[in-house]
Amino acid sequence: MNDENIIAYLLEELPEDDLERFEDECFAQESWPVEIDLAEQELIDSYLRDELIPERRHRFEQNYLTTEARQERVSIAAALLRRLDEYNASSTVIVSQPPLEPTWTRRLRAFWSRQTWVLRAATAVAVLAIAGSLWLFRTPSPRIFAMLTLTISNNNRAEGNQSSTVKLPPNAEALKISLRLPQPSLPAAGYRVELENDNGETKSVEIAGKDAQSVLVVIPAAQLAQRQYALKLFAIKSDGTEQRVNGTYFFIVE
Amino acid sequence: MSSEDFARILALLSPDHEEAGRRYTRLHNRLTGFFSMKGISDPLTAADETIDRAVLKIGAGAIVPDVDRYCLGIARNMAKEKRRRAHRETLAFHKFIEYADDFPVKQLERIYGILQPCFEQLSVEEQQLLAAYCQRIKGTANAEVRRQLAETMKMTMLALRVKVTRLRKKLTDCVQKRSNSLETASPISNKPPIWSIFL
Repeated sequence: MNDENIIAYLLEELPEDDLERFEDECFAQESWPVEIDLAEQELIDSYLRDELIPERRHRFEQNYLTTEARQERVSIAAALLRRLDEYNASSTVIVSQPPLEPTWTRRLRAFWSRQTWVLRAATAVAVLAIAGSLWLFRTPSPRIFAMLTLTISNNNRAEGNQSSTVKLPPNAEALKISLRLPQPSLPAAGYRVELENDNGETKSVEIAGKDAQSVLVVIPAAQLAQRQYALKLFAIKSDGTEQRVNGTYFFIVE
Repeated sequence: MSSEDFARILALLSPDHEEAGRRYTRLHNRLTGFFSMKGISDPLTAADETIDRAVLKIGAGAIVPDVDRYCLGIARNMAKEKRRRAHRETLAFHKFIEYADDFPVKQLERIYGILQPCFEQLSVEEQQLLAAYCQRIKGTANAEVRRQLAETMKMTMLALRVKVTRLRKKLTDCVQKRSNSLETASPISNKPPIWSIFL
């Protein structure tokens, strides 16, 4: 039993036989599996945060939100997430944080009114509030970021493209980079970003947010040295497959 | 359930009285979990009702080699019945929303208002933990933040998830309790929901 399996059960994606087998498996355990509540809570959060792929969002509305008890769970979760967003917003200093209230209102109105959901979700996707790559759990002091905005280049380094340069202040915890998406951008349910240094070593980079024009990544300062880097962007389609976005984002840390 | 009925089902669970009591509790807990997973309101009562039905059928002569599986079968049928009923209510609810377009936001604002004092009742550490765990970050970055959070707190990921879920359950219970104690009509209260006029 894993999260994916539980979510498939809750969204009624499993065939009838598998569905019963899943229930049998739960019932055969000494106590009711705690993993179900955990996965359900995260499924609800993903729905409210607009992080489900369209097919799953549809099944969530059609197959999951079918009882009053579940509607109540979702509305309480929505209220809690709003409270936590406000809590986070008041606890940290954030660069260019979008307003929270209109998004929440749109999301809730959309949630309760299925007919208008798709339209509103399309606009809600654009709004992201990022409270930093890692919550400073016991030290709620503001985080300090260096900022950079990059546009994609179809050249490679050997051709001597002009890289943007950034100098990290000694107290910077991380470098925030806004990657401008080439327009028209590929239809994507999400993105993945890879950081490559000039030795060809690669690592995944944390995505802190995205909108229709850009993807925001955060790279801890500790992971950066004074050298040239390239960022490769991959669009994740709704079926889970990836497609590399043509071109590369270059920058140099001085 | 009469005491004779209760004794009958205990005897079927185990000849040893103490072991039978333990198995009964285990059966009841799992039935409650099952109904909760199915999204049934008041899963505790539904679990009681399942066992009552099983006892009735056993009393009427049903041959039951495995009480647990027998009860699961009854629970499945009951969940289907209740969900069919709930589906009708959901349709009525959506009809009501079309009728009173601003109702959902008002309703949710009300829940938010009820949640506020519940949230304030949590300790600062608990508030911080929830805020850190549920912050708005997408995709794999979110998983990484949670992994680091678990590391900071010297916990496994599973222990952290369980802790967060328990905190959220505590908040949900508080919201439901406060909501039920208020007089205004609400889908959270025990009164018939206002939209039931559309049923």
